[in-house]
Amino acid sequence: MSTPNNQPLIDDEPLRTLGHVPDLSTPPLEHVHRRASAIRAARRRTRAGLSAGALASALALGGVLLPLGDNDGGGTGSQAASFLGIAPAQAADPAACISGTGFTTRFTRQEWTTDPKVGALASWLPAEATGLPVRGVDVTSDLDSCAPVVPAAVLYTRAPTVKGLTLWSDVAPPFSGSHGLEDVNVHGASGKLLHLPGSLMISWVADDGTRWIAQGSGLDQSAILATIDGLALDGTTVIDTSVPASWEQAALPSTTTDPAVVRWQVQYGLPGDGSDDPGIRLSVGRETEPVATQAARGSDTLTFTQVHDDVAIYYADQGGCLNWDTAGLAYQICGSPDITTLVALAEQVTRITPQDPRAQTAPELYPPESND
Amino acid sequence: MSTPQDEPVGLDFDDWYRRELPRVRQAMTLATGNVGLGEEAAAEAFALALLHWPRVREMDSPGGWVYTTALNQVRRSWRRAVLESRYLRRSRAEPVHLPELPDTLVWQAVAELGPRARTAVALRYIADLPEAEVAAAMNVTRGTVATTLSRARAQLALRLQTTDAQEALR
Repeated sequence: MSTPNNQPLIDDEPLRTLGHVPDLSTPPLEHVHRRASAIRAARRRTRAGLSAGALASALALGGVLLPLGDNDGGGTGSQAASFLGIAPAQAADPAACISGTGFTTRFTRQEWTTDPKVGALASWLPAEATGLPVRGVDVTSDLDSCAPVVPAAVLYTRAPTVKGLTLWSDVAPPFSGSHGLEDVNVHGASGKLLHLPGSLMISWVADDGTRWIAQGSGLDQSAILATIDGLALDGTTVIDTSVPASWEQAALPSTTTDPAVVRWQVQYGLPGDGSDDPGIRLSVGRETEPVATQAARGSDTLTFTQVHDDVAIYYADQGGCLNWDTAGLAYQICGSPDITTLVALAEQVTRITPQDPRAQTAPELYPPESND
Repeated sequence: MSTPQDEPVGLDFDDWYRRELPRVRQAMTLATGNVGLGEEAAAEAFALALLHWPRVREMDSPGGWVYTTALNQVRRSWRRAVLESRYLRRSRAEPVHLPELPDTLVWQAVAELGPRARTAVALRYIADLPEAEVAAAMNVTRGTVATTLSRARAQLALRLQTTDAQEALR
């Protein structure tokens, strides 16, 4: 087989092997149903004029479940146990809340200057820091169903090994399904434990009726349970003095009832959509959990470092990303596999006002014609 | 999961989702060159299919609709950015399941093609859509699809000219 200019072609047969699908697992059906419900609800809100900006897709915060097989229609019963996420106990609909049924809207440039939430985030890297032109600025709001749950305690160690243990209190049951859940005794109560890749998730109800969730990584099951057992819990708080000296304890951000999560984003790089040349990406949002919380989610996937005197965490994926928080804001810079480079960039980030000419004259990161 | 009013009779969304999602995910992964983006685009397309299910289920090709919708999510830079952001946050929140993908010389060779060629090949040979539906999904003419596929096959022939590759193709 050949083209008119005698260039060889392969026939269809080998290409048809691409149609073999080796992984037939699917995320649980409840995810797609809740996602559809979220889109429907957000569209209603928009039609009612309650949402500003161009509409786009939603942000799903829901946990991804283990295993992904979902062969019984999404009911509970013998379904493989899943970790759904963290939701406040008082959520009107905890199931919808923990599935992460948010909806993203964009701020217009005019709205930057009038919404104090944007002013609280606006930040900048000096042009000379990146050596790249400003590709664009974008500000979005993820309208989640529930306000984020601030942890009750975030414990971590950076050396000699990375370990993490985070506790949340006054939360909704975090698991669906039952197959794979272990019964454990934790803090004097009967609890449930689920193994996740790189971490363990445990939930129990204290004598006063408060539900707790703990996630640990970097230490084995017995060590995690022993550490939890050694903590003094008072209502919904962890008594600081009960935390062993071998652990560092992160300062906790303020709690919030606002489900809107606004993000200020600036990209530096050559014009375009960044798919071929990602450049440097700066993102700023309100701190909803200490960055060290990540150590409990997968201690082997991250590297601790510092930005000025603040704890920072580096991830090698996404081209290299550095996360840190300071003064109630959560920052992220992505775009270099080199930690030193990212730290140097991070230490040059400054706060600006949304009226700053550099921001106001920057291109739209996503031009209007791509909003449809 | 589906309620009676959502699902009168005939094609059932839940069954269709379980049956088709893995193939759509695999096609979108090859088209985008990004497993996370492929997964998110597929998930978003099925959620939108459920939202419009009374209409989608009556279509001649609900599959064609879901591929078109998934492609729309990644073709527009704004939506693509939202999907990427979602996947990043999801992968930060919990370790995510990475679907097993074919590990063949043909898959690897196609993965090295340009985005348009990858998309055409994915829709034609993974989704098994006829050229007319591939054209509709990609928002190009059928002639463009034919040309794109022809050029892709020529490029693949060159890439797969080694003896081992030829063996693999037999």
